[in-house]
Amino acid sequence: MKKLATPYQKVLLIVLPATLFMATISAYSSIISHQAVFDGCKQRELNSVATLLQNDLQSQMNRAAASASMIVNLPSVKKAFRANNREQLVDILQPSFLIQRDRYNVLEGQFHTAPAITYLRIYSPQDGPGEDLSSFREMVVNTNKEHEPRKGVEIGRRGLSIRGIDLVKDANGYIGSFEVGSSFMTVLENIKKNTGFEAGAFVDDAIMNKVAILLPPPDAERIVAGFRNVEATNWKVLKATVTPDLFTSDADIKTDLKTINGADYGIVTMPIQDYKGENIGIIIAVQNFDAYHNQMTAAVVRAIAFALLQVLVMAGVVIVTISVMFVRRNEMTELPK
Amino acid sequence: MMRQFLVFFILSFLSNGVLCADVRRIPENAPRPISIGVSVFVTSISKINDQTNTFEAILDLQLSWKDSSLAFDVHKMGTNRLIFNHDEATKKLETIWSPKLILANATVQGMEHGVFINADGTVVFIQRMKGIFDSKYQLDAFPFDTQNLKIRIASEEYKTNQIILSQGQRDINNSGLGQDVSLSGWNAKKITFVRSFKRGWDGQYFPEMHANIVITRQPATHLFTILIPFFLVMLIPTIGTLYMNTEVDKRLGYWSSSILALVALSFTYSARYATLPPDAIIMQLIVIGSAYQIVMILLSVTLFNSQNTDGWFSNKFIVPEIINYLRFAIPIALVGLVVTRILLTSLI
Repeated sequence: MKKLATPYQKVLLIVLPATLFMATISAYSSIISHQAVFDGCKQRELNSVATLLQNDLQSQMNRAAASASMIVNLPSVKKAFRANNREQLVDILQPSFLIQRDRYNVLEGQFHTAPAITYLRIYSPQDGPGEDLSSFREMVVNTNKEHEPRKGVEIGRRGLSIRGIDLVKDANGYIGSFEVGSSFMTVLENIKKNTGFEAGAFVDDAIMNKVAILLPPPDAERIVAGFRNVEATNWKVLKATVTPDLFTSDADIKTDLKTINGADYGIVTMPIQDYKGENIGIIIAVQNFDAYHNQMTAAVVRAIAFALLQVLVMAGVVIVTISVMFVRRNEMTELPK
Repeated sequence: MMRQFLVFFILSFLSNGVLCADVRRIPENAPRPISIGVSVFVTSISKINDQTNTFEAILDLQLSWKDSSLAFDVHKMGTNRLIFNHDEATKKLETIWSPKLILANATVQGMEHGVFINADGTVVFIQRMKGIFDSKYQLDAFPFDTQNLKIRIASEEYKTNQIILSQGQRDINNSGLGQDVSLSGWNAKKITFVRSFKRGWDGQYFPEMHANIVITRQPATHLFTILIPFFLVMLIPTIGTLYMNTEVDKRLGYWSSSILALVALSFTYSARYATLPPDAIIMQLIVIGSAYQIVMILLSVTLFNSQNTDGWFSNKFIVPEIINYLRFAIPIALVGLVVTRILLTSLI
């Protein structure tokens, strides 16, 4: 093994690795703490979106239930339903429901009789009076069986809706039920408006094919891993970010960070459960997190720059000191020999 | 005679006014606010001027709304879509309601348009426009900046409770940047939309939609022209001070020349990049350069002046060792500082 030529080289061999080691530890610790701060921020943002999604879904259910409750308590509605007068019910409710549809995304208004027989669809009175829904609309069946109002999410002939059902009763007792169903789009648009996340609702394609027969067939690209995208604030963005691995059978809300085509995305997945609590689909909300990524990279650059400065200064001080105190002195003492 | 003329004038004015209001009135059977779908497709961007805060572009602006009174029977008309181009479109627009949206930040130089009316009463109004657009550039991160070239689509007549500017999936699909959009020194990335509103002089709020064309500057050429002169200004005096055995007055001579060169460089930068904010990378470089010059002048008259340092330390090796260290530490520190600032600026 070749011996080190000069005492100066020996000093460098000791000092430089030591300062580099200390600076590396310092930079690493700084980067780790920054990473923790940014991860915390991302997680909080994703959690906020998940909370907003849940709360908004609940409030839309309440709104649907409130609308249904208001309609079933209108005396004119009770009277016409009791008198088995469909035309009169259409005259009373259709004008206001058309406004509800155009302004507030209300997709369905439907009267049923027990156990779950369609009596009247407000938006399309000609469609299916007398149709038995009991094989796929358990929410209606239970409402009419247990005589209690219900609210929740369920797939109907017109697809996925946020629904509220209430009972129509008059002085002579129970007549039937009335249901209001509103679009998921309201929830998704609210999320986009409040947080900037693009969101989409995906539902089990097999159930949709079986039940939602009044809907036109979907585009093939809107079916991912057996789930059909029924609503989206921006399908272009979702298409690029939604991958089959997001569609799991877990009943929990999940948050995830993904890098897609070099860009960082924050993703929130929330299962859509029907009123019985069974998973029938998933809401996915995504947002580009490049701003966080840039801030983190800036923090790394700062940490490395300060570490190098540390190396430069510390190594300089030590090298000068050792060189003056020992190396030069030794050279001086060795010269006379 | 005069009175009769006046009555005739008033009557004709009123009848015109009523007629006009009848055909152009906001659709009554439509829910308020009426949703106006907005899409913008940018065909080309020909010029970006960050000195005057403008850009020139050709774009297709598509507006769509539903007016049930215009719905027609497909079987009777023999088509599911009525098409009106150019002059026909102008005439048709005079007879139907439209949201009267304008490009609030544009000087329009040329326009073609067409109107389509679908059987369900959906009106699609397409305009191909060429114009110069005002857009405030954010140059803090120059030359690593990303600019949002803004196109302000605004309502001047209808308020936020009467119309709403929105984007459905169809509008999103119709929006974008053409494949031919290319700009020297820039990369066109995407187009984004932001809903907004503006307060009118009467305190009412009017809806707006901002289409932002996102472009990023290609930094390489700018960096080259900024950094090379800077390092050249610093190079000769640094060599003269650190690596040559010369007298103090000669070293000071190098540095006074360097100071003048930096001042000249600062003027050149200011003239070339007049609109840059005070904290832009160029100003940071000038500050770093000035500080470096001050440090080097101080070192030249102190540490590098053997007449001064002789009596400083009892150990005669200290000053030479410090000088040896500074010979590599100072250039590394300068380059490191400049590179760090550039990297941090690029990450703003």
